[in-house]
Parts: sequence; C-alpha cells; structure tokens
Amino acid sequence: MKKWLIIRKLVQFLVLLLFLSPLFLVEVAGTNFFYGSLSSSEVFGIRLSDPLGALSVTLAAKKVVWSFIFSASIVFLFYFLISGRVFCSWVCPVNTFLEFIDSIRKRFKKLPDVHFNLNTKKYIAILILFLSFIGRVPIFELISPISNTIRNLLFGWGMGLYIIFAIVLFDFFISKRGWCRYFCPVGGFYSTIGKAGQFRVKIDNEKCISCMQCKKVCFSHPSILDPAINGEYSYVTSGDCSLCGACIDTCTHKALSIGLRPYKQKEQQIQIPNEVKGEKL
Amino acid sequence: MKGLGMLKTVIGGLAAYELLKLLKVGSKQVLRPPGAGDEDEFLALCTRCGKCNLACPYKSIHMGTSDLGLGLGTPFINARESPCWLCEDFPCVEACPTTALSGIKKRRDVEMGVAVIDKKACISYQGMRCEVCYRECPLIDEAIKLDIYLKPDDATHAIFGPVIDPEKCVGCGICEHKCVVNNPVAIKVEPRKAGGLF
Repeated sequence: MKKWLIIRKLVQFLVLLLFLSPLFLVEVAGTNFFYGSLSSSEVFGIRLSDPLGALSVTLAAKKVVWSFIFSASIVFLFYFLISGRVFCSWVCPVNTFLEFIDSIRKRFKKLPDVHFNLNTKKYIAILILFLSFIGRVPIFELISPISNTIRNLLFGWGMGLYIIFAIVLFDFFISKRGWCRYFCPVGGFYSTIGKAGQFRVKIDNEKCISCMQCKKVCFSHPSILDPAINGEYSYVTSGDCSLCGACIDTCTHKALSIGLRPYKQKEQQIQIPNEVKGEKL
Repeated sequence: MKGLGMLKTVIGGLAAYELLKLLKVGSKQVLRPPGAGDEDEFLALCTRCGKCNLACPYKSIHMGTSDLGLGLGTPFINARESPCWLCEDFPCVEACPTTALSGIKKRRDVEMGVAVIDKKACISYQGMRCEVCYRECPLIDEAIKLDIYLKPDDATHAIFGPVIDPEKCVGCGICEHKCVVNNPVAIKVEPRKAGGLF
C-alpha cells in the first residue's frame, strides 16, 4: 500500500482545486473564501505570500511593506517548522506536473541522467535576489514556471509557456527531475531552511537491510539518504528532503518513517560490518 | 551524445527566447488599475500575484503576457473593452498585498491617466448632439464639461463640444468604453506618464 503516495496525490489535487476554486464557486473570484495565486493569496481574509517573492519585491522596490512581509512570514514559519521543501512535493503545481512527466520518463530506460551540484539552486536563488535588487524588477516572478503555471490556469493561456516547455524537455531527456533537484530557486530557498524542519524521515537501522530501494525512488536526490542508511544519523538530515514519503512507501522492511526530529542524536553505535552496510553501492 | 548536445541547445534556446522576448519590449505604457504609482515603482512592487484581477467585479483587469515585457503578469486595463468602473470600495486596491496599488480612499484620488479627445473624429465637434462621454463620465461637469458655441457660418446650429479638464479627469476610461465612434475612437485615455526603465 502506497499510503504516502495516495495522501500526497490527494493533497496536490486539493491544492490545485483550492487555487482554481474561485473560478467555479463564485461569480467574482475575490469574494471566495480563498483566492489568489502562489505569489500571494487570501484565506478567510488572512493574507499569505511567497517568502522568496516577498524578498525579491522588497529588494526590487527598496521599500519594506510590513503587511506584505508579515503575510510572507506566516508561510515562511509554516515551512520552517515542518520542513522547507514540503512545499515542493506537496504543494508546488510544477512538481505535480513534472512528476507526471517523470512517470512517463521511467518507461524509457536509456535516457541520460546528468547530475549537477545540489547547491546550484541556492546560488540561483541568491542570483535572482541580486538581479531583482539591481534590475528593480522582481525578476523571478516574471519567469517563474510556478507563477506562470498558475497564471495559465487562472488568467488565460500563453504566459511563459516556452520556459515550462524547456523545463519539461530538460527533465525528460537530460536530467531526471533536473529542474526541481538542481535549479529551481524556490526549492533552493526552501532547502536552505529545510535543515531546521521539525519533521524528518527517520530510519531504524536495525530493520534496514541496505537494499537501497529507497534511493531508487527518492524525489530529491538519492545521495541525501546515504548518511541515514550508513548509520551516521538516525534521520535524514539534508534540507533537500521534501518529505514526499516515497522512500517509506517503497521500504519493504518498515525501516523508515516520518516523525518529529529527535532532539538528541540517539546513540546509534551498533557496529555493523562494512560488507553489509553501504559498501554495496 | 551528439543528440544530447543538440537537445541542450534547443532547450537553452527556448528559455533564452522567452527571456529575450521580455527584455526586448522593455516596459510598455499601459493603463494600470487605480492606485498604481510611478511605472518603475509599480513594476518593482507588483508581485504579479493577480489578486486584483480576481477581485475586480467587472473583470476589467487583465494580466500582462510577455507582450508587456518586464510587465509580464502585471495588471492592466483595456478601457475600450471594459473600463475601470470606479467601485466605491476599490476591491483591487484592497486586494493588493504589496501596496503596488494603494493610496485610494475615494474616486477623486484615482490617477490612472487622462482622457484625450480627437476633435477630428468626435462627432460632437461636427455639429451632432452626442455628448455620450459627457453624460457617462462619473465626474460629469468636473472632468468633462461641455463647450457650447454657435457653429461658425451657421446661425441656427450649435456645437456641444466635450472638453476635458486634465486636472480632474481620473482616467477611468468609461468615456472611451462608451464612445459611439469607431476607427478611430474619438476619446482615449492616455496612461499617466511612465518613467524610463533603468
């Protein structure tokens, strides 16, 4: 039973439904209990904004709008407490779409998978903030495939479709889930705060048989599971983990689970011979 | 790997095409919703969330495509198609999270642009009784007044020519929407002056 997959697909669907709900629930979208896009929205009169977008706007305009910063910090705190990249696998509509692309890609065995530095997306996030500052325009809000996907759904077809198309081709033919793993600045932003998240994928090293099935299905990057599998940590420490739950679903030995981060690193000093652990890769 | 290299070029090309399209246009002068400040400041402050579009009860606010260059995703109004009807409570200004649209308390605070009359196209100036723009103007006798005078070389007919007061006109575009003349429209709203980019 792929429990996490089912829950996550449901949440993804509900998120899309929520954003599209003003279009079919009410005559004037602004009177709905929820309206807006991923850049900024309103739920029951409470304003929520994208933290990276808020940062770029503040830098671009060189003006601090406190209500805007406040609305962004609600979202920021939410992801800060849970785990940064939860946004990616549970909310982001581009990921929902690219997951579908990836599921087609899986049927073709011989496609290349070029790896890049996982930190590239953080550098891109910094670059975007810098460009927003000197260019006086929140540059990523214009080209962001996330904003543009929502725009195409809400306001009409034809905005930034070339970039979305380029990303699809890139993910399909060059690098498996390449945009999300290495380049998306929103993912980069959330992965920097990801380490602080209270929810983590935990591993029970006594149950783990190092079959590496989890690494095959990992959304973010297989390498982020290594420290946990090797027994260095009792949970996945990387900020890149998006808590998608794919590894938990696939684990046949129930060694993985999602739970609150242990405050003290438990003594995981059970000596495991090297030929059993980790060396098989 | 030759195919891969070519594919990379195609993908890079697609992304670059989109980016260049944005830069080529720069920022274009369009009619912004009420409460937008200086165009440079507006482009910087607008987070392109589209809430103003969703809040507008008349669906007058459109979101800019890449035709608007750096204004992609920013709101604009096509007055001929559907003008700003100057709601009492300005839901678009209310919805804006970033103060890109702000500072509007009452109708007279709005400064979207100024209507300009093309006297050659306007049938009122040819001696017909039209005055539709004058009657439809929410600031009748303030923003548009009638200049009534005898038609030259004609002792029986008069001209009822609409005249705009640029100080009072808020640029809502209702006159442009209602104008009975087509090709060209005899009254058009000129957006408030846009500053140069960079």
